[in-house]
Amino acid sequence: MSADTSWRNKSIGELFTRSPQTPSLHDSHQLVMPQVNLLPASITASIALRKIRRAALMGSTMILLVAALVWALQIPAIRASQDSLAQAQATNIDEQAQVQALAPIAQMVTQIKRQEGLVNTTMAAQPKAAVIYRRLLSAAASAGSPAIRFTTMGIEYSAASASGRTESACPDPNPFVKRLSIGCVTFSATARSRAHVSRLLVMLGRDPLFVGPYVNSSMLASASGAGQQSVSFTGTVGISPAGLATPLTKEQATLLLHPPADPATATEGGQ
Amino acid sequence: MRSLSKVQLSVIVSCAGIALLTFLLWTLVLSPRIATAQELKTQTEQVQSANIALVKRHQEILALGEQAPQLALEAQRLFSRMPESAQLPDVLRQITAAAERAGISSRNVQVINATIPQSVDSKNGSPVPATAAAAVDVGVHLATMTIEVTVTGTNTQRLAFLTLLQVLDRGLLITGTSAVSDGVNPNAGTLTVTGTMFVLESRLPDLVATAQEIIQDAHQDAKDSAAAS
Repeated sequence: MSADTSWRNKSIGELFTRSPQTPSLHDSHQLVMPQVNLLPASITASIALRKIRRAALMGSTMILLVAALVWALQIPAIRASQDSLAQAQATNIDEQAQVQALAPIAQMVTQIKRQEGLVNTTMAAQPKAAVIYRRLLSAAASAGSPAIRFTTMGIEYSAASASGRTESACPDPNPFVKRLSIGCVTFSATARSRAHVSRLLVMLGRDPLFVGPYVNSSMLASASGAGQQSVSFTGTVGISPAGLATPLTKEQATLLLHPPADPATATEGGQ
Repeated sequence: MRSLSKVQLSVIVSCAGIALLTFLLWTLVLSPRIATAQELKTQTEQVQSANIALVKRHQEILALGEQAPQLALEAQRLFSRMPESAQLPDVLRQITAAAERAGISSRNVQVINATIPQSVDSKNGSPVPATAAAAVDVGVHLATMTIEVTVTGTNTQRLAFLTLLQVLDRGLLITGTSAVSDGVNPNAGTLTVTGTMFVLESRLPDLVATAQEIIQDAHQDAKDSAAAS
């Protein structure tokens, strides 16, 4: 790009004197003309500028062409995408209309299932009330002679729950074992002696219908006319899931005994 | 030096011009164009996945429609055990009749308390959404009421009464019993039974016919909408 301007500094004699580097006729057997640039610097610069402009123009044109090519290459892809989108949107509208039209079926089924589920879940807590009552009376009858007499007996049924939980109303004399109960019997009774009371507890403990029989207070009552004493006592006994009219499944029992961390899952299996 | 600087300046200006052109072309033309293509692709994928979910839902509803008559039949059997509000006096008569069958005279049926039926939806605090209620209503509105009965009799009579209460053709969930023995006769006393009963707030419709009607209407609507599109 830079012009050779070293000739300017040379005298005319020097210009026409062969430089030592200049190959002689004898050395190379070839006549070489000295390189002399007689053009003014402005012309040389103009030439260089023109070359630069041309290169820039060429470069710009090339870039425009590449951009146009890239633009053009996108056309089929965009058209295909637009077609697919339009087709998918049409299908979407159709399907939405179909689902909308059929929605009453889903609403009806949901409504029936919800009400049926509510009734079934509630009624699944139905206890064998008469059987439980009879077994308590028969335990009292066979625990002593004369029979232990229940003065009051209140039974409260609830949804099945594990002992130790707040919803389990009955105290369990063994706090180290987790047991399921569906209700609690609270009683007050009179017996001939404390031995009879103990026998009642043993009998209730053996019966699979009951869990955790417990006497929390016993008191010697006034002596009867025959000189015999009586013991009045109060206690509680839990009712096991065997007292349910519809027994719990193994899964339900396991869920109640070992509830998962997420309470939402627990309600599905519980009652 | 001046002309050399001009050349250098030209080179710099040309390079800068080309760079600017490239930048502008990319920013204003090519990048939005490529982004448009990509965006269209993404939109298509989103709509297609929504379509898959809709098709799945459509098939689920069709399957529900097939099960619905059987489900309605089972529900009809279940709900028919519940008295309508208007039939409550009959229920109380049935309880008295059960006591008499157990050997307890009607005079010894001391108390029959029945609370005012409470709608199950309002009880749960989950009213049915207005839109859903407007769309479909199968006509079953449940309510619950608490019944408390106190009778006097012997142990055998009280046991028999409890047994008979549990086999009433109306579903009564026994939630508690309380027995107090007579001071004189240890084998007699009072028994109070507390229970919950489901009640229908209105007349139970023919659920199977209602279900079939709803299914037919829905299918007809689906056909119409398919034909329209």
